[in-house]
Amino acid sequence: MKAFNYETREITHDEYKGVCFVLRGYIDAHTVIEFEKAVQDVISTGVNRVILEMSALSYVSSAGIGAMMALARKLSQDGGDLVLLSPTQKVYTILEGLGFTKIFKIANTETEALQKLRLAAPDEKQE
Amino acid sequence: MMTQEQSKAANPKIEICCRIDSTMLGLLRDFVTAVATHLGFSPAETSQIEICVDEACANALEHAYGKNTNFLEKNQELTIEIFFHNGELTIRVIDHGCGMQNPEAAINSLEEYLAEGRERYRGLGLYMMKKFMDRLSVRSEPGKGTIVEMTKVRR
Repeated sequence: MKAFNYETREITHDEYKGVCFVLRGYIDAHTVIEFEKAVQDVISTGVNRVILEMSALSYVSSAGIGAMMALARKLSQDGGDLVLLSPTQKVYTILEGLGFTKIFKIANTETEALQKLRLAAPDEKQE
Repeated sequence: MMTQEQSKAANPKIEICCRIDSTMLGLLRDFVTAVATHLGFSPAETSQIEICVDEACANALEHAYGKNTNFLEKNQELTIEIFFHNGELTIRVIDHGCGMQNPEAAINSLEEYLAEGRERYRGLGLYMMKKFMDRLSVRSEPGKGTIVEMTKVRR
């Protein structure tokens, strides 16, 4: 099995456009470069709402958490948001032990993730 | 009462010496996970041990043998020593790289990590080791290398 791979699919929603990354394998000090490049390629096209589907991601090191934090901050600065979808129990426990479950938006279902992304842009509806 | 042979088996000492690059981190994680599981650590404890060893090895690769040092052309040798005694697992990650001036400098809280103005999110590895392990020491000598020693108590 390849150490890290992913697929992307567009999120179609009435109120916004985003991308869902379906992540597989692991993100560590070696594979984080590939992950960072993948997300950079997408957000450079103007996408500012991202879901990271993590149910097949077996491991995330500090390098991966840092890359996700940087992505969340960039998307927030651009008026968007990041949601982590379905992290494994192992990854969730590490995130929780460090306090990141209070920092990242985390969803258990895609419906919940889409709802959290919609709430990231209340300004659009107020106009 | 355990025989001498049983006692030795229950208190293993493992030493791995390898020339490493970042593609091997996954292999080392798998090995450490297998050892911790074999010794009866819970899945949660095993995950914490796994990530802490991974972070120590990744730090050694980046800081001791990284491209900004003069050690790139030398063997990127890393020694990992694993001891288990009285329910305590001690792991030493030893490199022979450039060493550090201030080896225990790291963030001390998540707030510090998330502070505005930081160019990159760095320093989480040592914070993890402090948070997840029961004891941690980092000894480093510029020009000679660094020893990270961490201990996890089996609950």
